[in-house]
Amino acid sequence: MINSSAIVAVVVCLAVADARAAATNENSGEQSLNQTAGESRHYNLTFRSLTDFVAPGVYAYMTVTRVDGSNCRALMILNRHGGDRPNRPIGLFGTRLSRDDTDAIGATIDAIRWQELPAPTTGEISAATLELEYHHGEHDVRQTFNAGNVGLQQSPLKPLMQRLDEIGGTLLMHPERTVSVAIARTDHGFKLILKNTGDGPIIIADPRPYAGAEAAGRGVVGVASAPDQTSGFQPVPELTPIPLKAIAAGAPAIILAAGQAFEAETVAWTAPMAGRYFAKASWIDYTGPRFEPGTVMPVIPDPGAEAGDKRPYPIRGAAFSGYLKFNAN
Amino acid sequence: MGAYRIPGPLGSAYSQEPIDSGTLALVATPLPGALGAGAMHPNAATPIIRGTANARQPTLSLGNRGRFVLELQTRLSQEAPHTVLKIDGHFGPKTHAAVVAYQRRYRLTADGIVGPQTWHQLMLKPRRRAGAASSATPVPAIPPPASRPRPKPADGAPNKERRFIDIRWVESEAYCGGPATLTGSTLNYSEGSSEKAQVLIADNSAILTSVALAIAGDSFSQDVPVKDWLPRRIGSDYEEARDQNATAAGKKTPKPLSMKFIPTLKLAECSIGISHFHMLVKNYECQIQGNITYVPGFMAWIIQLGSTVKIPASDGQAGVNWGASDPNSFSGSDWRYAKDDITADSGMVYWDGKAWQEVPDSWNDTNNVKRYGIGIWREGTANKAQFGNGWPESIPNWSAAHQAIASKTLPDWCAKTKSAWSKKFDLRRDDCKSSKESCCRYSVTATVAFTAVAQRQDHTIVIGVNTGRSNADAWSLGDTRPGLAPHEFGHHLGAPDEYPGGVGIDTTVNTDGATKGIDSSSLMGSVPNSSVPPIKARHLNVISQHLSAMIQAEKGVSWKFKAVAHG
Repeated sequence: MINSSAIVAVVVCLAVADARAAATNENSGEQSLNQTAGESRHYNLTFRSLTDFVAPGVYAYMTVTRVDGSNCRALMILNRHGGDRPNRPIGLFGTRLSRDDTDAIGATIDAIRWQELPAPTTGEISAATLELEYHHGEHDVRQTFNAGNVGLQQSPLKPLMQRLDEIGGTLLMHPERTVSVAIARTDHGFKLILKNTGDGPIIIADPRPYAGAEAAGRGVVGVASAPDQTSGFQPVPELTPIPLKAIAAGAPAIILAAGQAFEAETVAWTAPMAGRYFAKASWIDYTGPRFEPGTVMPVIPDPGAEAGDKRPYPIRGAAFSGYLKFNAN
Repeated sequence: MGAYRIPGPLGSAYSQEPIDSGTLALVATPLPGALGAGAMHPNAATPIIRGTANARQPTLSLGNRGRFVLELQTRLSQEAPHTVLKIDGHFGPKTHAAVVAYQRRYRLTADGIVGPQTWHQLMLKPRRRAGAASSATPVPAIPPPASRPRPKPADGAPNKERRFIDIRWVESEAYCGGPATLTGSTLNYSEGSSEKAQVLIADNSAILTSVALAIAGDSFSQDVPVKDWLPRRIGSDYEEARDQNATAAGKKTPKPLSMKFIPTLKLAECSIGISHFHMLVKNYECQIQGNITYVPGFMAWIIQLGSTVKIPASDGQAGVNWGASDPNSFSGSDWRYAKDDITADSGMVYWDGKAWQEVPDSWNDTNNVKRYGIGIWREGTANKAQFGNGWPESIPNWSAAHQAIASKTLPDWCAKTKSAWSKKFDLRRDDCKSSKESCCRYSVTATVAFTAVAQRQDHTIVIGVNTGRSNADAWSLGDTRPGLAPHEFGHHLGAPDEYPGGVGIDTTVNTDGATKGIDSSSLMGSVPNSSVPPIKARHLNVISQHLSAMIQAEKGVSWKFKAVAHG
């Protein structure tokens, strides 16, 4: 609840030197918390933004960012963009950060006085749950807070949030195993296009509905009359769903190589009247494809381990095309 | 209609202060046995023991404790040494019975209340008392023990004829748990003997229970366990009172005990901490009535552009101020109003102070912290926004199509809320000793209604007709999460958040799935995509407090409740 007068309780979990920290310390050697700039920082960072629980380990909006300070490798698993932004790929993103940037992230976390954080003054059940796990030598930070804790993020955690935002922006420019959605008109309706925009294979479930169980399918095109241009606030009109053509068998897995696309046509659609329309394709799949264990990459791999993995990456989440605007006669 | 407004320690906090007579803003009804204003408290530590009645000796009655009671018991014992009266300073039923017997013996008003006349009699020397009783008054119907024939020792010789004189209820009325006391007088009963008494419903003579009256001296005083005495359903409603008699040895209580039940309570306004609802009780069902007022509006966004947009920092700032603890911390931040726009390639535009501009593709929010859904609405001629200085363009009223969406969705929210909060737990009186699970037990149902208002005030939410990201005070009709309305209504019922970073988390809660007040499996801890998590017993804590307060105010009895699984 974003309410300036609300009283909140802080949920801070700060553990020091537990077994995992000891293991981390063992791996990283005798790391000092007061390293000078430029020194290697053998830390492990995982930051999660989780919104709307779907199933164990699955959220409607889930972003997991991981950084391995020892090899400068950063990756991000993003399954749905906030606000359902159009033309944005989802999946696995990864890159190698510069040593300076990698060290700066660790230094930012080390500099925060975690035990002195003020109590958050706001919170919101509909906002993301933010989880930080950071292991650096004997420094072990586990912090959970809420995206509605604006004051916390804008003040004591602002440097960290800015760093994470920068990493996210950087990673978005490095899609490794990602899918994006596009829409196009056909003679009789529309087609939804799923394209692998990364540099390695991905595996997804066929978005088309199949006879019986899953009438709605994983993909759909929505269409509506374009609103008249008027002054003042105008909400986006509700879209009428046009289903994809059904298939006989249920949601077989589809493997797409880098750059490869899969297209699925909608059932026939005719404009009810002449005029200007707009349409948008949506792909929403939180179940994911079926596969044999060990034949695909882990959903949340370790930073660095994913780079040489040739197995397809399983993608589940939601992605949306841009708005297709057209005139119907 | 009663009203219970009990602010938490910090006003708007979700605290759940325990209710007792010291914190409730209620008019207290003196408890039975309490002293009137100005009287000396019977529990006072300093005893005044003299040979004559003293003006400072307080009036004593059932329930009093203290050294004056000790003195009373001591003198009663001296008066009737054969009477087994525990000298413990507690004016209980046996002391009461002894007082009544004493008063009857000396032809005082036999009401069991030790006032000035009884004290005076007690303070007289025994011989003088006896003389006064025998010379100044007619022979009492029940002679004093000293003049009565005593039973012979148990040497095999027959005793004189026993007489069971009478049986009476000490109390005129009782609730479950009592107290209910039978007292009376006997003659020529041997020490340790007893009579069987039965408690019956007056109007049909159904036997409720049997008790053995333990006779001591020429009297008895017997606690009757008041439990498992359930109300009957008379027509469609449960009875609120019924007369109960007791019989023993052919004698019957001259006046019945009125057994009281509380199946019904009047509608009351409930406002403990952040809770605000109305509740009445009918036929042991707590009927919660919530009314959520709303202004019809729309969902929009407020976004933090950061360095991705190169415009003067002050242009178009929404003027948000997120934190009360440091009011100026964020007033200069670059939060701006934004909305979805199908004409923009990025799908979203922001207000730069003069016009709507497309949010650049370079703007990202991978962690979902730089954009919040907000409610906007029209209030008279003003274009309002949930946060900031006000929406920068004209906001329309709802169209007929929008009204139709609301007409379809709001009943669904009502149904889901009712389902989530009704008949999941009952409120059972904490100290009810009955073995029957239905005794002192109230089921809970909750209904909620949505009422449109023209102006937003405290507790008024914004309902956005279009799809958007909801928050606690702005609910999108396009929000498909079924637990949203039930969760937010939970705050109306006084339940705090149970997710990390939530408001009012009770970090002392470590049971029933919660750890330090966090429980992602509960309705107050999570609003999943496609299900409504269960409520937990603790979520009814404030409702329990309200029920206690209503009973205290209307019936004058102090009952505490706990939530138990509905059954």
